[in-house]
Amino acid sequence: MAQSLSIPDHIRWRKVAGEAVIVDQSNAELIVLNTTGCRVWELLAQGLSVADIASCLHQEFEVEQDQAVADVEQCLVSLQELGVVTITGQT
Amino acid sequence: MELNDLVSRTWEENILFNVLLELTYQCNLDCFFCYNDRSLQGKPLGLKRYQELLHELVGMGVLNLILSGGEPLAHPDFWNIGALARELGFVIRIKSNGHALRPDVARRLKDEVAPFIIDISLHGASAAVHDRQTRVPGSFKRLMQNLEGLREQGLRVKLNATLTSWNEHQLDAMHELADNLGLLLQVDPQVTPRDDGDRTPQTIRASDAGLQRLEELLRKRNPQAGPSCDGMESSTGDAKHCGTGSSSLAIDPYGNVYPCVALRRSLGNLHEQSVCDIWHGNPVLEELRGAMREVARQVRVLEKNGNPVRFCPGQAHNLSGNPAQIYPAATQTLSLSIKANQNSRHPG
Repeated sequence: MAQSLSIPDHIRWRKVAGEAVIVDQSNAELIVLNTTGCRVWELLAQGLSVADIASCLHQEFEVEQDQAVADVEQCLVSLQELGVVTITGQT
Repeated sequence: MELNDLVSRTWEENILFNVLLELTYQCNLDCFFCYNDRSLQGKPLGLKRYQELLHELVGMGVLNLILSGGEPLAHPDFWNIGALARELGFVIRIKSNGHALRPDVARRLKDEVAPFIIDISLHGASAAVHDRQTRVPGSFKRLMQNLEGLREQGLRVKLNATLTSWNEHQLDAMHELADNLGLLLQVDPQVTPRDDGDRTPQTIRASDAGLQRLEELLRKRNPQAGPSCDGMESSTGDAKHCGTGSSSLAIDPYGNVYPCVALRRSLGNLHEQSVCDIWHGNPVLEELRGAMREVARQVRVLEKNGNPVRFCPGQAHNLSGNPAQIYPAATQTLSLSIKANQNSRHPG
């Protein structure tokens, strides 16, 4: 079963000066992701899977594919813990 | 990154981040000191133009969208505009008098617009005082009922009050009322002239005693309290005084674009230009960005003993035509602020 990534409705965001500015409307928390995190965020907002996001990072940031997958998964776990991403299903 | 850091960055890098839409000057109340220029003429922006505008703002990276008025809910396309703003992912703030926010409307607002916060005007702690300012009998009673309904819907609400000679004797009572409702109350000490320059509203500006009482109360309730313009002013850096000309725009019902809701110097009109064209390379904005640095320098000199100056470039512009010109009320507030500080150190 593939993982399904989604951004909850109470999350609002924009890309500002290369960074993702994310507002959690439920608790008024502000989260800012740096360039790489912002790219992960943009791609998941487009509905891409973990594998596809990792492939993009592999190409754009010149990191090994395995490392890109590990980085994306770690990033997503952090975002899930912050409550700004919902992950359903398993890899 | 903290909010203040983000705000400072938008100021420094001239990133448009906040846009206020005055959707209409129609209102279901008739506040004596309302700053709107209801005699302003023009062709109102239609729904299609608002839809285009919102898409343009998304493309420009604007996150914060403020729906204001008049009473924004009085606009015939309020629900369409609000729903689209939600769909496009804006953080929406609604500035309302609360009169129309009956429980069914509050429910619809939550379901269709999902605002981050609703700013609601409070004019007093009793019907006699509140209704005197709104000039609509029964408005206080209805507001209290509607606030309860908003709370039941779980909508985030903040109360805003303007200190006047008519309500200053209820300053403590208004804070007590807000506390009992579990709501934050922000009090603006300055009554501004109308946008057409009419100074009639200022005939009910607060007395020196009222202003001093406000300063004392703010210090008592929040010793770190400083100047505030919806939390987006001054304390976030020393390079510019505020985001006027750097990170914000205000747009009136007829498409006129201004640097700030308080600074009514037209930058262009949306019937003739896109907001993107107005924002980029605008000589007035360039001038204002320099002026905001000058204001910051002046305010730093005035802020002696850690006492904040409540200086609004918009008010300065309206009074003198120069947004960097320190006006009497700002320095008056400074002197009262120092007095209040001394009183808080030596009570009795």
